[in-house]
Amino acid sequence: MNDDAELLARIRNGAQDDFAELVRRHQSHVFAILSRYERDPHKLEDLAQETFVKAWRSLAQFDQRAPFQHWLSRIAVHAALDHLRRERRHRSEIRLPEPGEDALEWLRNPEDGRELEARQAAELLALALRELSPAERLVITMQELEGRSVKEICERTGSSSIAVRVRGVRARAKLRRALERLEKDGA
Amino acid sequence: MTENKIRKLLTSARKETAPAPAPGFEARVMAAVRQAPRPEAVSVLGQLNDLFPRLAVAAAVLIGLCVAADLCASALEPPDLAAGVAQLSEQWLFATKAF
Repeated sequence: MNDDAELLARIRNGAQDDFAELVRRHQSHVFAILSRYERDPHKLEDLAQETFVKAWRSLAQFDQRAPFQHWLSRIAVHAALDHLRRERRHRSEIRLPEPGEDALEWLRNPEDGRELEARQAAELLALALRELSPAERLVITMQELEGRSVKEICERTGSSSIAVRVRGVRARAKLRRALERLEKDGA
Repeated sequence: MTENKIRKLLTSARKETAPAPAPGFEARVMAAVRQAPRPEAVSVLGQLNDLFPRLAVAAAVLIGLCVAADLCASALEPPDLAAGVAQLSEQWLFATKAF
């Protein structure tokens, strides 16, 4: 099948329906990025939809110097950041699923050497990451969960490398404090 | 909370697989796209429009800096009465010479 560049050229020439093919190709990638910032499946789908609509609206600005997926990733990251900022304003109204007793027990017991289940770990982390600012959360997620370099984070967020490094250090310190609070008081 | 514990937590969380899009997701995106305005080529005017707030802020900062520099300069060098008189007489002399 055609590559993205060919598909984009057809869309620009008026074949609007071909955009569905682009969505099909990149939806898993967009969901993978956004699921790090939103655990509710309905909100996640809304966010992914918002990302694709934003991409559609600014398609004329895509200069094809980088692959389409990189450009789309940047839009997804900015959509995630906007979402985190909105959620922060209504933080008291939004409830996250409480981590199970097993996960809290794991956190409290320094001798517990077993590996926590991925879902439990992600839930625990989501709860702790609420204490961070949206920009700090973005940096630590990209650094620690996606394994991205400072340079890649700068490209995707548009921030300077100093800002990314400072946020990374601050985010780690805040994450530690948040986990210590959870360890002491629970959810 | 040990560093090792935090690392373990992050390693486990990294392994969580992202949920797959629900069936018909692209159809819902296309329905939203059809309601959105068609993408248009970015005109020069559009780019200027996007840049304008930045240009306005840059101009305001520049004006502020000039005013501040002027205020500092006048604070450091208070106007001298003798210099003012000399300037006035010079102007008067030039004015009479012109006649």
